[in-house]
Amino acid sequence: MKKTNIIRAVFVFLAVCLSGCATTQQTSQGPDILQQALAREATLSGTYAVAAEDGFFSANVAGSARPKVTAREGAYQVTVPIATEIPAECFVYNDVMDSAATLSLLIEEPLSDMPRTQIRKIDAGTFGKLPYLYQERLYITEQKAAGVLKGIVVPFQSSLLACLHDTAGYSETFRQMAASFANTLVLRDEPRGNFVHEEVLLWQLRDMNIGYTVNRAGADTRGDIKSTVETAVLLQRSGSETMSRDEYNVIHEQTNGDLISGRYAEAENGEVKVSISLDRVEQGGYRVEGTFQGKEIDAPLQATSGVVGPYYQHREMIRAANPASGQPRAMSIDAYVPSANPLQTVTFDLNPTGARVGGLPEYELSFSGLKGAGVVDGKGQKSMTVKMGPLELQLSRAYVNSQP
Amino acid sequence: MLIARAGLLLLATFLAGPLEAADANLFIGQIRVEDARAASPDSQVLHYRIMHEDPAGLQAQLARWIGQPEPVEGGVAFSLRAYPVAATPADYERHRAASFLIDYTEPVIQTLAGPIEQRYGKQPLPGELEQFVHEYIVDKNGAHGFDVASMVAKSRAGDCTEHAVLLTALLRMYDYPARTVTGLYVSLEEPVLAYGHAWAEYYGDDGWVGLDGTRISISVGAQHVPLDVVEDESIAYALGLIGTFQAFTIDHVIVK
Repeated sequence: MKKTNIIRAVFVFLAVCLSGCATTQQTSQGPDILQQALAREATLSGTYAVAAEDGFFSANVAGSARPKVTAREGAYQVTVPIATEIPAECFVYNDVMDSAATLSLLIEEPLSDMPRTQIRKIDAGTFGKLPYLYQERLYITEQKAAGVLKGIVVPFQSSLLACLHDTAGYSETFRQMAASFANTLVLRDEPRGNFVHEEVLLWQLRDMNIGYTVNRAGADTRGDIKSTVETAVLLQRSGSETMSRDEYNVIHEQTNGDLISGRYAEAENGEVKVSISLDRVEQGGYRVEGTFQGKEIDAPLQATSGVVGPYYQHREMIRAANPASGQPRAMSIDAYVPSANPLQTVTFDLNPTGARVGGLPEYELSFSGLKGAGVVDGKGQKSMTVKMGPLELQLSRAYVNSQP
Repeated sequence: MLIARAGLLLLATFLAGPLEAADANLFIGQIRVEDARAASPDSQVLHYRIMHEDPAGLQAQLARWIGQPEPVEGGVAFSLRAYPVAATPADYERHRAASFLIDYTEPVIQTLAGPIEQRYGKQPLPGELEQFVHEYIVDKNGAHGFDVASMVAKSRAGDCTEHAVLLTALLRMYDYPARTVTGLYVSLEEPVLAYGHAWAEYYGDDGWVGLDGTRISISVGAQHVPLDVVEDESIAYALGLIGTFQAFTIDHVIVK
């Protein structure tokens, strides 16, 4: 699992700022004043080169004046003026971090002493091929003043970029600054990716983008296929509460699809719930080791058939959908999904519904009573929708780069 | 890759549930309420009409507790004077056993016997265990999924599902046949609100009795509408919860 031990100094810094921020609006001035403040935007007049003294990162950041870089324990703090009284604060972490848990902590911890907070917006999207997760939260101070704290996180393979801005309004200005930072960020330790498949999928619930999944696959040093799956989701549980879920899996499979090994980790609110290793054993079959819901596991995997890796599933799905010929076929796969059952594979059935969406065959995916309708094109899963009563959970592809 | 995501799909589905985010932090989610009237505290009967995606399925579910739920167009109607008693008796062996979800043999739960017995004696009453859980879970928040009982005992945090599984575990630890139930809770103050909720049932002399560790109301009564029992308590309990949460595909509720 990635790290979630956010540097305390970040919280202290923000807490100090929030205790007396000049940009809060007195609630007694009425909702119109706050609405006007929320609608404000600014123009970023320039682009400024920023870099860590030790060469850990460099970037060209859009802003209104030259940013300042400060090395802190575990991160570099980059203060970026964006034509507002309070500048945006960005952090380039020295290591990878859980995106959703980090964003939750960065937003919620400094506001923990506020009498009232309310989630204004949760959003996810892409800056080019990079996913981001965003949260905006209204808070009321003890002096009955209202403020808004905005936060955004962008994951990298060797770091996490997190930016915060404690001012009502300027949402798009803040996002433009973060996009410029993320898109130009060069990290010294970033591995050179040589992927045969890379995609970003966005999760949407109740018309709100709540998270992303990044799937990457490429050849490993032994000539097998290495896949990484990274997911970050923020679920709104009440007006002021979120639940973060982060997932990070690394799976190796042979070129024929046979799974060799997998490392699976999932955290809820930064607390590890799943930490599992799956390894092929000499006698045949697989062994599961690790912890699940706080309990030790060391047992053989029960599989009804051969266990295949995610890249094989991806390719097989394209073959079954056969978008080129328009003649889709059904398929069934036993896959390892530890959060569903760490000791047994789960069978997934994909059946063409006969309908076409945007000229592509629609599929029904079903497992263990859960059903969704999806569309597959020549580069993989394009979208999927799970309907439960009045609600829809949607998965849609926002970026893909796939070699045939 | 899609299939690799199915685990999260599953979790997101049941964690978000088919419900709207609740305005209170103890519940699974909120359900739309229409044409409801606030009830006076001495109301004798609550008349429910639950409009559901699968009325026949809902009727079958409710029939486990309510003798004759009446089918109406797009839903089911019934009246409750008190908490409905399920018709099926306890399976004493199963409902007293430790399981992956209701794991009262874990040391972190066993150690709770000390403070419980110090306060209530060697054989605490079910209501006393309900009170203990209510007080023991100090961080009442909705930011949890569906933790196993030992994790709840350790974290002392959670919403209704965490209260329910810990209470079920403690009831079984003291040899009461018990199970975890999911359903609706209707708050009758103005405005009337309905929530997805979870609580425990133990099997007493008069059959199954509801206990709610959240203590959202003085006692479990007609405001609690049971819809399903968490039957799969194995390591794959998350898969079993798919059916449980599909019972929440409620369009809206009418309460009078």
